[in-house]
Amino acid sequence: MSEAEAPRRKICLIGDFGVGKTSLARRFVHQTFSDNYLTTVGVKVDTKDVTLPDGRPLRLIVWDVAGTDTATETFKKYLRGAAGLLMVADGTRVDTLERVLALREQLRDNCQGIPFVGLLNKRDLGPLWEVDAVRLALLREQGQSWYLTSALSGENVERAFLDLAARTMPP
Amino acid sequence: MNQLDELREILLEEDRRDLAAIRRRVDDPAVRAREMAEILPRALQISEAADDARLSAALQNPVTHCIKQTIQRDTQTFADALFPVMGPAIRRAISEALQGLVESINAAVESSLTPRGLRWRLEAWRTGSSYGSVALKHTLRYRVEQALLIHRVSGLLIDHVGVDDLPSKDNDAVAGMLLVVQDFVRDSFAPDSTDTLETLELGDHFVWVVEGPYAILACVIRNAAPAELRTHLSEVLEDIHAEYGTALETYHGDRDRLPGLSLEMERVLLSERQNSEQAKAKSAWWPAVFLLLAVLGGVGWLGWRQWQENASLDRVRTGLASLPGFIPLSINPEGGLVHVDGLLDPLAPQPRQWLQDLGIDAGLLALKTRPYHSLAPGFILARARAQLRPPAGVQADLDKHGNLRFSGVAGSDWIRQAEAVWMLPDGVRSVDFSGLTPDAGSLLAALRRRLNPPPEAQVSLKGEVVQLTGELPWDWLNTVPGFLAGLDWVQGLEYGPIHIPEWERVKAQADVLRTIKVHFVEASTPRADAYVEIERAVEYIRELRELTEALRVPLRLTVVGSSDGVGDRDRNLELRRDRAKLVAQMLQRRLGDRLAEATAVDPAFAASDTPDPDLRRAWFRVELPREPQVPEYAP
Repeated sequence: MSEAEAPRRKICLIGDFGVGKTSLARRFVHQTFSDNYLTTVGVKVDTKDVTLPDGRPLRLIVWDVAGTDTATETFKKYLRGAAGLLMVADGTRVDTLERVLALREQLRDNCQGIPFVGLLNKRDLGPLWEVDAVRLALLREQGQSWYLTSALSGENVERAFLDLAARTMPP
Repeated sequence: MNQLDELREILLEEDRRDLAAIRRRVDDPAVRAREMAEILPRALQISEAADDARLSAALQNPVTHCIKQTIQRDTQTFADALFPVMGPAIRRAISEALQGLVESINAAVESSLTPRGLRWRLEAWRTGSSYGSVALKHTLRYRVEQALLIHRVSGLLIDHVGVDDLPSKDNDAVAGMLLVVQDFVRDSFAPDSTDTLETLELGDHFVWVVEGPYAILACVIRNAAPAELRTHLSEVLEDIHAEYGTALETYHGDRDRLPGLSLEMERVLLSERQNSEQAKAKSAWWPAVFLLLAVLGGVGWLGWRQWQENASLDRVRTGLASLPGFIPLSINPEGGLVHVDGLLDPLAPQPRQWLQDLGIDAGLLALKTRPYHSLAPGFILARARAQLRPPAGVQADLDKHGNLRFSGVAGSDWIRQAEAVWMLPDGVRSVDFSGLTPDAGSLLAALRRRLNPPPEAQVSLKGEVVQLTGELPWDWLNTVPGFLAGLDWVQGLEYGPIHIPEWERVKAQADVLRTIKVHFVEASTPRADAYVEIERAVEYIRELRELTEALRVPLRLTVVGSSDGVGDRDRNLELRRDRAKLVAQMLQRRLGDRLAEATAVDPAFAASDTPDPDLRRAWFRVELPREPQVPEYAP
């Protein structure tokens, strides 16, 4: 199957302001549009072609939604039809983790059954790290998948995308 | 009850009761209905979740039948329920139909008067098609370059088709952003509307968006397309929904669930481009010929118009050059008008009228003039006439040195005023009135004003000689020569039939005095009434003396004595002499001066024996040897 005929999946990058969503998108997806769209219309759509561990190609349609901690109607509209969510938090600001979790709670009705993967970003700022291992372990115990990532070094980013991509596809 | 029954009762009593209860539930329709109502919604949900088509198939006919019956029974309820849906749909359909009609009319009008339009009409007649369809076929000069089918909810690209020569683009991202922009525009400008962005325009590229229940079709079109294309796009989208409706509704990015979709999509790409090329191939020489003819016609028309403008300009220039009292400073054609700037004498003819009288169209004349005084002889004379307004009969001549001379006959008043107020107009060095002759009427009026004659006097002119007739009071008459001396044109004074009232009075008084008789009784004894008569005579004599003195005429008064002839002649002569002297003395005493008048005796004597008292008298002989001398006048 060629990439042009590969299945598409819409995934959304959500999270608070300044957590590094756009940096992640800028580095790891195929950009067609300028970042200015984020500040004008509040969203920017890019694509990322991935190959699943079993060899199947998949094209991720990545909607980078402007940072927010509130699920407004417009925000919910952008998330319609999404096959997966990439929740992004800033590891150096623990409050951003709590807010993105709260945001997901607000989206429970809209995104029921939709897989998500968490990214604790800015791993490269080690001394400033705030999220402790206990909090992370609790989340993982709840069955959530969280990665410690760095948009700067690329650490774990590809893995996180692939993990979510695999979750959006039938086995 | 035997032991077996007891044992049965012990073992089966509970089952029997359950069986009885179940039987009651099954046999009682009310219970069954209540229980069915409780489980039916849940059963329907389970069936829907399992994607079981049997339930839908089973319900199709009853539900259809139910809807039909409901509509027949209560149409209004359905109409009310459908109104919010039908209203916008009908409005949109009408709007699109009208838009298509307007564009068709525009295209038809645009092309109906051209060779191309005539050729299309011929083709429509030949093929039996409508003119609109033929025109549409030939005017599809646009190209649908790309078409994107986008999932309406998620913004995922469902399919994309495009012409081969286009650069590739990340259409998945484009599809998502297009949906975002659609939402953005609606939320920004019409948040309450359910309408969507239908057209985007950028230079010669247009994006037309047609919306279906599950997907929207966005077509990128080069050049403006006719409105009919939107109908075509809608039809294609409807066909896609009809065929792939369920798959579209649940689309999550798996294209393999939509086999053959691209073939449907390509319907929006190809046909118009081929027709357009064919049309170009068949009629390739027409546009060139038409363009050439249009250029030639345009050049010819411009040349002809330029020639016309030049000719018109020359006519205006020539016409204005012949206009007296006008000095053109500039004549320029500009903006379809002929702008003329110049100096115009106020007494000159109006330029527009002048040109029109010459048969030159002055409609495009933009005239700007400033006043000035022309020094042409005609204008100098016209200005002089306008200033003085001489009466008819006065001739004005201007010599080459600027000397203006008036001649002819004019009223003396006008002449006097002209001389008094005259100011030299531009171009005149001197003015000469000597050639003017006052007319008789004005002279006579001036004469009468000067003489101020009494009402009974008639003053007339015979040439330059004044004639007086009628009653001329002596005092006024003697002022006439003095007044005439001020009128240098009067050459003499003549008299017609006149009477001088003072002279008439003299003659009348003299006649009365002649009738007065102073009677004597006898000898030189006055009769008793003699003194009364003498008093009367004194009054008349006094007046006569004054009048004749004023009239400068001599008055000879003689007291004549008479007698009745009784006695001899000498005695009678003596009596007569005495009586005359006595009366003369009495007059002298009364008048206080020596009587200048002589006394005389009545020479006629006839002896008589019969005394006649009436002849014993003295009477008055009054002689006025000449009439008063009227004054004469010679300049």
